[in-house]
This record gives sequence, C-alpha cells and structure tokens, in this order.
Amino acid sequence: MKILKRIIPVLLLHNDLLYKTKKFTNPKYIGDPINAVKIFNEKGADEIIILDILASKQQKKINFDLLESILSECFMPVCYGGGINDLSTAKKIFDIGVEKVSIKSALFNKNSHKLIRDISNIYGSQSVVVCIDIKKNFFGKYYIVSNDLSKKYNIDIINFIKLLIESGAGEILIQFVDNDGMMNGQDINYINKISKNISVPLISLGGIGSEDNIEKSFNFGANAVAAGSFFVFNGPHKAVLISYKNFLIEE
Amino acid sequence: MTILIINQKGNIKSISNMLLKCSVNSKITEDPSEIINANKVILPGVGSFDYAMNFLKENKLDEAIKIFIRKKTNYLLGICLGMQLLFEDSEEGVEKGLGLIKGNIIKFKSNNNAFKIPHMGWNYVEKNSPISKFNLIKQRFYFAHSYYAKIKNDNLNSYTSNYIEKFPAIVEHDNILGFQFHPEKSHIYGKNILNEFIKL
Repeated sequence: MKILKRIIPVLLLHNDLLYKTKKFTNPKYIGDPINAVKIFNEKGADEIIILDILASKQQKKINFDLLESILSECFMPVCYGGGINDLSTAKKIFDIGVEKVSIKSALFNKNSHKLIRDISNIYGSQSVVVCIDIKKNFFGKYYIVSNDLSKKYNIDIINFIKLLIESGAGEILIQFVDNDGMMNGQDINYINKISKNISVPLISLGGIGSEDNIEKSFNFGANAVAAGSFFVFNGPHKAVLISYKNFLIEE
Repeated sequence: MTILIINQKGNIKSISNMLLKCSVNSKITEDPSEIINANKVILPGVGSFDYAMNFLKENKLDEAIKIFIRKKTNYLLGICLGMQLLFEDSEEGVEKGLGLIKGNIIKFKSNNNAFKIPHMGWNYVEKNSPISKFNLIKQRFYFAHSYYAKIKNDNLNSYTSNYIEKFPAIVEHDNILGFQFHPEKSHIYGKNILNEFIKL
C-alpha cells in the first residue's frame, strides 16, 4: 500500500493581501490571494491552507466575501484559520465552502474544548484543525507561543494536544516559529516526538526550503508538510514566483 | 438538467461549485416532494452519522429518498458520509441508516498511532467488480473519513481504495451510487467522475 502524503501551500492573509513572514515578523508582500489560489488550483495542489495573520490579533472582521471569491474556483480542500473563536463564525466559514477550520488563538479561551467539540459534532472531526505555534528557547525547551510572540505558555505540549484530540480535533498543524521563512528545514526530532504520540494526522509547517526538507519531515512522521516561502519564492534573490509540485506523485 | 443536492446544514457549497464547473445547475433543497420528482439527487454528508440521519428524518427526507430510488431510471449519489448513510448502521452512532445497501459502517483501527485516523488525503482507487458505470484508470481522489463500509455483497463494490485495509471507494447498486471520497475537492479527477455521473 502506497500512501500519498500531502504537500500543502500555506498562504498568509494580511489586510486581504498575501504576505510572507520570517519568524513571524517582517511581513513581505507577495501578491493577490485570489490569483495565487487560482494558480495553486491549476497546478493541482493537494490542499491549501489560508491563514489570516491579523484576524484574531486585531479583532478584525473576517473578509467572508474575499474568502468566497477565493473558494469559487478552488477544487481542492481548503483549510482556513484566523479569527474563529465561536461556532457561528465557524459555521459562516463552512457555508462558504471551506472544508476545515484552523483554531489557534481560541485554544486558550475558557470554552476552547467546547468550541472544538461543537464544531466536530456538527461538521465532523476531519474538519477541525488545531494550530499550535512552537518556539524553542536557549535551553532547548519547547513552548507554545501566542500569535504576536508576546505570550509563552509553559505547559506539557503533548498532553495539551492529546486533550484537544479527545475533544474532537481531527488534525494537528504544528508551526515552528524559529524556522518560519528560513527555508532551512524543519525540526524533525520534534515532529517525530509529536507524531509518535498522537492518533490524528500531523501537518508540519515552518522551514521548508527544498524537496529534501519535505522528504525528511515525512520520514520523521509528518503526515502532511506545509510550506509558504518554498512555493512563492524563486532563485537566490527570492523573486516572487508561485510554483507547486507534489514530487511524490507519478502521473 | 438541474441536479438536486439534499441540504445537510453544512458544507455543501463546494459541491455546487464543482457542478457549476461541469456546466450543470444545481439546487440545494430539503423539500421531500422536490426530491421525489427529481432526476438526479446528491446526498452529501456532513458531521456525524446520527446528526445527519436525524436531519433527514426530521425533514422526512429519508422517506423521500426511498420513494425516489424506486423509479430506477433516476440516480442517487451519496458522497462521503452521504455514502455511509446508504448502509444499515454505523459504529459512529445508534441511529439506523437508510438501509438501501446491505452492510455496516465501521471505524478504522490502528495500533500505536502507526496509521493516523481520519484517513485524510489523496488515495488511488482500484477496480474491484467487473460491472461499473464508471471507467477509472489509475485515478486518485481526496478522502477524509474515519469510518468505512463493510459491504455484504462484494459485487456492489466497484472500486476499492486501501488504507490500513481495502475498503469501498465506490459502491453501485442499480441507481444507488456512493463515493467515499470527495469528488468536489478532487481537481480534474473529481470533475471527470462527476461528469460521468451527469451523463448517466
């Protein structure tokens, strides 16, 4: 049995335009999201993840119209994250035609487990992704951090994830903050540690710069590998050029 | 031709988007009389087995579906959970399914987290029965499910896929069809098979 592993482009929305960050800072303008998703769709991307990096930070309203335009020409699974902190917002996102919602900031709200349970009861656990931003400190200890990196949560990460899965999370998106935009590979040992301990698919994000990096993450337990810079920058001067190929699929 | 999509109070917009891409109009409905008189009906599935079955029953859509398929010249297509609802029951819930195809829905089982559940992502389908309305050669589709069908009559399982074990990817029982994958999210492959369904 050959399992096709997913390679997933990640697009960051910032005031309705596409940006790419480095270590969660220095957003660089990439282009128009509708056009970018169209290109990924034409190139047959396995799936796509769209994250609004300001939606929860600034309590900004989600631009449902923009999402709807993006979705109308999108014939691959779409995961959206950013500003989803209650069931009615999640419902609006699903109504547009999104398959999966990614929950991140709301994980630290009081009713986080209820939110995940409610969404998974109505839409199925395969539609609930929890996103966790991880940073390693000087002493090699791993922390979950908030969007703006201002908060560190000193908790048992594996246990935290396991409880979210028990509540109904169907997929875990791990984001390595230190590797974001660096294109130097992912933290494969940490991928391995999480993968061994969870029952649902793991998507690793942050640090992919080559097919070799992707293969390594797969070999160490990632079920899907997600990347931003790798699909939007090209050449030594990092010119913006959208490309995509799942090198594991022969056709 | 207009294809009816049975409302499931969830994510079904992507199905009408794909049908539009196939140049076919669709209409989302929860009106039993409209379903009975239709030519082609899609039963999507959103959420859990019981949630979906209860929704069908509350709106008398289960009865409408049963009357609809008696005509035999029309087609019902269940997608993902919608396919699972065609069977007798499911390990996911306590409600009875529509019972249009004999068999049960069971959960994938994996030891030591070796295989992640849900089965999520692209997978190939392989021909299992010589009789099928679809002609697929080395096609792949997008799957997202934790449960799969144990079908009584293997002849009704036209295409299988493989994750932990072989399971039905397409079931065909006269005018009752089911896809375990999501054609609406499977790029050109999904478009092609929906086109085949449209032409039936």
